Amino acid sequence: MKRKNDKAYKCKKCGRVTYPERVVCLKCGSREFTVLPFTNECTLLTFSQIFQLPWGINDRYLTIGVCQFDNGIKAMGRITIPEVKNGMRMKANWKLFRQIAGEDVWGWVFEPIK
Amino acid sequence: MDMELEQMLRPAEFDMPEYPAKVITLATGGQMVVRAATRRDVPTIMKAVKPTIKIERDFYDVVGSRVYAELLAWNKYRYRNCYVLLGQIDNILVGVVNGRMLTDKIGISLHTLAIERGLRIGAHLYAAKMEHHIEFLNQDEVWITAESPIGFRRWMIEYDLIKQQGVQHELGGADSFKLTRDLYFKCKSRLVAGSRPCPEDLLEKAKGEIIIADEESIVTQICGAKGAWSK
Amino acid sequence: MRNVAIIGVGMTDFGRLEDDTLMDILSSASLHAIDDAGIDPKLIELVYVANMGGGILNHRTAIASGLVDNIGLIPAAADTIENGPASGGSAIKNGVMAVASGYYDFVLVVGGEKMRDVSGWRATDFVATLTHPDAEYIYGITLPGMAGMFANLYMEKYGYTRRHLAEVAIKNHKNALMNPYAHVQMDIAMKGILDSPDAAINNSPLAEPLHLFDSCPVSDGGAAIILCPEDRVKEFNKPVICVAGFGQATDTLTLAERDDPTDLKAVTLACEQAYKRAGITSKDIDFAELHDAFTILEIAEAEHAGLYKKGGYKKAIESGENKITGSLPINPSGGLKSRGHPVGATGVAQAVEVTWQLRGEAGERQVKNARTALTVNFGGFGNNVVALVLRRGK
Repeated sequence: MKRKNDKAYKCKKCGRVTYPERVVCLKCGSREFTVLPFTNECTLLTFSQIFQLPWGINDRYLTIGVCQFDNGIKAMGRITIPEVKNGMRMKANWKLFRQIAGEDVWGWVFEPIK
Repeated sequence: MDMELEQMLRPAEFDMPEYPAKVITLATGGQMVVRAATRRDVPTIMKAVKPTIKIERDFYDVVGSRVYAELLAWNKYRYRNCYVLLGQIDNILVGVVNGRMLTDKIGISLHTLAIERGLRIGAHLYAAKMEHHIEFLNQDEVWITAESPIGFRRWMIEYDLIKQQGVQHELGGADSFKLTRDLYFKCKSRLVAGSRPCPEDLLEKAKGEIIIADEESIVTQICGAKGAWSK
Repeated sequence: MRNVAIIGVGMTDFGRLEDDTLMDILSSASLHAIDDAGIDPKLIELVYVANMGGGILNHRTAIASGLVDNIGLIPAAADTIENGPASGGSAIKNGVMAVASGYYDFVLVVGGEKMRDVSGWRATDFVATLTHPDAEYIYGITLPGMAGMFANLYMEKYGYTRRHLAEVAIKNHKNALMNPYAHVQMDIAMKGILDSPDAAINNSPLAEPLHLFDSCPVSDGGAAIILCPEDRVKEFNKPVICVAGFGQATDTLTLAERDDPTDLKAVTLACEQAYKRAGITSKDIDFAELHDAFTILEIAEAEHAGLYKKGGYKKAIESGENKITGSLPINPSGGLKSRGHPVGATGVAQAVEVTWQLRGEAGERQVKNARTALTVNFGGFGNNVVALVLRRGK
């Protein structure tokens, strides 16, 4: 399955950043975008240590958060350790982190910068 | 009874320290006494277990009938090195757990039967069972298997138990898991509730009378009385 | 446009309805509403069924077609409406528009869900399918997890503590004790969920900073209402309870993309539309049924609906004015927190509760002198919200 989570976009007309992909800019209605590369680092905006996870995940808990990349892209991802705080600087790693029904799933794994 | 023959049939047992009673504050603010049962308590406990035997929901029938048989076997000296712990709220029996010593260092978790639901009674009593094996029976590990999906989720994941490939739990069933001393002490603070000593008056009252709800109330408590057409 | 009224309401128990199918649940709620209205079923021309999970959880689709067949409403028009946890609100909105427009006179709106057919973690996965499949769901996010991330920011920004959340939970559990339909009938105490060493274990973390008792249960259940033009209510010997206004608004699917993730814009917009259509302001609301799937949402929705300023719901919690006996009762039914949350049924159940309250039929939990009420049905994680204003009289 093609997952549309590996690219972020910038609207050619108004510059609004879009992630994940959508076909029309929410701000100006333009349908033209350029690819915006992710930066290596980002800042943690919010997170939660989540228990009672869904079917298919047998971990006792996961820490999941939302980070803002240095060029403005915002994305959800897993966080490597639970001891984090809002505002923390993170390294953004694009990783193969699980399988769903036998299919490899790639996504963001954020790691605090020491 | 031919006591000479009976003595041959009764297994030799380990000298097992008694589980020291404790009291747990529940979400309602009420208090549950957790204490060791004696063989004298068994006929009363069995009255509370019997109605669960016919409840299909959440595998109560499997667990209830096995607990019933285990209680009977323990009471009649046919199951060695067993213990039974009870949960009582205002003397009412709300849950039963049991286990036994396989060897001096390996414990067997048998069953967890919550008679009142929604207050984490089962979770608290299960934790008390693990506490008993590791802290009071001073064992190195406890072997566990799950017979219901709720049990699997709660015990295996919350305690991060270790799967034992090829090791058969004596209840048969699915693969067994084990709780080690290390794992127990890692999760103790988030799973083992209660304080000691249990106030003397509370404990004496709990020992003095085990109140058993009537059969219909027990079935209703476990199954609920709700339905699309009930109103 | 015609004024639209509710002439019949009905509900099933909410909880674990082991012996009932989804169709039993929808049928029972519908017949209760039909009987309550005293309407000849032949008059019902249109049926809207609110359901989110029939296909996934119960292996059943085309549910509205099945319902009209089961309860003898053929050849009425029938549609299933799915808007996640706000399916009920959306179905009512569509029913109101159908009557207001003059196309239909008598409309049955029923919501129902059968979630306990599957294990808890299958149900958790099912609800999580409303998140973005490629940017959220894949990570193992849950709805409690979304609420946890939201609470993390909201509590920090507006100074809420776990004690405020616990107070909301305790209030809603107490209200549900007076609601015979409620899923959770358990009085909880601060000592048991926050203020004792054992509380940390009783009330274990669910999605930090939210804990077990901050969350609604997973429920089965159904609720139904019958709508008609206000000028035909007199044919049914019922008090006039009007849907005076409705509103619906959307927001970005991903939480990350919102400029300010603590700003529930769709709640504000939906409520503003509903107030405007009803010709009132938030000050005219006498009580509200809010979508407290998590305690933090009762707080945030009360503030985004304009009932309080941001951070201002603390005052209601501390003074007790949000209790049934207070000046602005919130969730007298027990809310999703304790009445339960069969997702497709919830929006309709809110309207049923409000109707009972406005008729003076709510028994022990009756809000005194209530004339105008608000419901907020929160779809997705705040990205598709329906608000209704219901009023006694014209």
